[in-house]
Amino acid sequence: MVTPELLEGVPSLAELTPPARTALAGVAREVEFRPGERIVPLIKPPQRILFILEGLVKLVGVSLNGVERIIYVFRPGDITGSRVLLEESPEAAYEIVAMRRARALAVNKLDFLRVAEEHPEVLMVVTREFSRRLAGLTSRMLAAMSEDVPVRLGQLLIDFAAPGTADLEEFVPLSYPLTHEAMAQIIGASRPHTSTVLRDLEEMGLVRRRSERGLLVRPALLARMVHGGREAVA
Amino acid sequence: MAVVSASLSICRSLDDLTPAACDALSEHAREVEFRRGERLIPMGQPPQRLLILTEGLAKLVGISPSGHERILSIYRPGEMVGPAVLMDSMANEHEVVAMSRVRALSISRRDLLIVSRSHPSVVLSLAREVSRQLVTMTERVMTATSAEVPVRLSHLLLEFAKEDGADPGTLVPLEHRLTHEAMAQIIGASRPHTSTVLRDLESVGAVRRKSGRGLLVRPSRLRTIVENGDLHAPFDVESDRLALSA
Repeated sequence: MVTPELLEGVPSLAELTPPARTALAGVAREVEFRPGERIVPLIKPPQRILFILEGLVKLVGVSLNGVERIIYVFRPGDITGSRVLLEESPEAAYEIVAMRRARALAVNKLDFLRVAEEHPEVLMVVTREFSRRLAGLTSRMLAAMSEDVPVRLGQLLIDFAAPGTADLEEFVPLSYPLTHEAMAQIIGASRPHTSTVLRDLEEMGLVRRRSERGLLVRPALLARMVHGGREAVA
Repeated sequence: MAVVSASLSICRSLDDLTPAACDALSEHAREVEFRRGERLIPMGQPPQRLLILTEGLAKLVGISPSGHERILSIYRPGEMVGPAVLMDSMANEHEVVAMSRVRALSISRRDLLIVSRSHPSVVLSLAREVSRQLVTMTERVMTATSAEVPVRLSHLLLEFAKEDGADPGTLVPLEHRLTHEAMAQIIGASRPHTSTVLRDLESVGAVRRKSGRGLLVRPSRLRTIVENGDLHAPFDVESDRLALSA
């Protein structure tokens, strides 16, 4: 059974009033996904909203010629299932897959809309998260238009640096480890090229590839490279 | 001066509003105009109003790390700019600029809050618009990160094709004219490369560049290119032959 206290652990839901949190907890159930498990399959629109509690989940686009790209990575606190709000959800050429073992709170579409009608604040906080994802994707779009792989990779490493470290010049770990393959799929480059660029970034002193804490990055210096080019960190 | 509630019908996301909610919104809506190049939403400020475009095009613009202006999205008549105005107080990282003379209906954040307290369905309408824009941007990111320039350009031209029920094998104009420069900024390529690719698309019968009606596009061929991810993907020759002979 999902308790209102469990919802307090989801940052976007922490500010709900007790009645709204209780109503949402009453229709939510905890679900788990194995690594690689399809949470929302290709084409089929989602029928529930998921509040991610633990693990990483990827939104993956698959083209007809088999090219797979990670469009977005959902982290704990994120919410999936925005198409649940649309009356007619179009078929989509992407699916949602667990990258590792994941735990989430699931609310099916009809229950969510009913609770949202009784407690509009629930709709407001969920839509705010969707709006922030839209802003993140828009920035990602801008980065994708840059033809420079080091810039795209640098931006990704900044996005994934541990929380609260954006202004630091010292080495910090990533908030979640990413394989070279996952990084390549996110930035739209090949895995070998991504590995080569990581090596180049290490030579520039912006990352450290092998450490006890995994890949380490220097967020402030990466930001300087992203916005000012290699010369800015020479 | 308040607008008539029928003018809100241009916006698909407001279709499900009750007449009372429509009347309440229209009571607070004002008609505004922007000149070409004028900012509808400046960078660095949280949104203060909702805009519903009624005429003209506006672009969401970002500056790439290399200093190039990129068009991240285009707003057309009937679409909302700033639908998250009630939910999100984050400063805008990008700005929205009029591409042509733009007319819109403007509702301030304060007035939206007042209306939504009495008519919660307004909140659902705004939420639906955010979802719709999220779906569109997700697809655009997928195309931008996985497709070559001819596929990205084909995707853009399909988005703007004025099909109006026409046979998809026939040539149709675009809903709104786009310069080669604008197309280049949207797909993230250089203007010369974009012009070259347009010429390539013409060579496979997917577009006609010079006509009395501006750039014409053939949706069926563009769709084949997009779906196969390949400019030279084989077409359904028979149906195209029939369309070409029409």
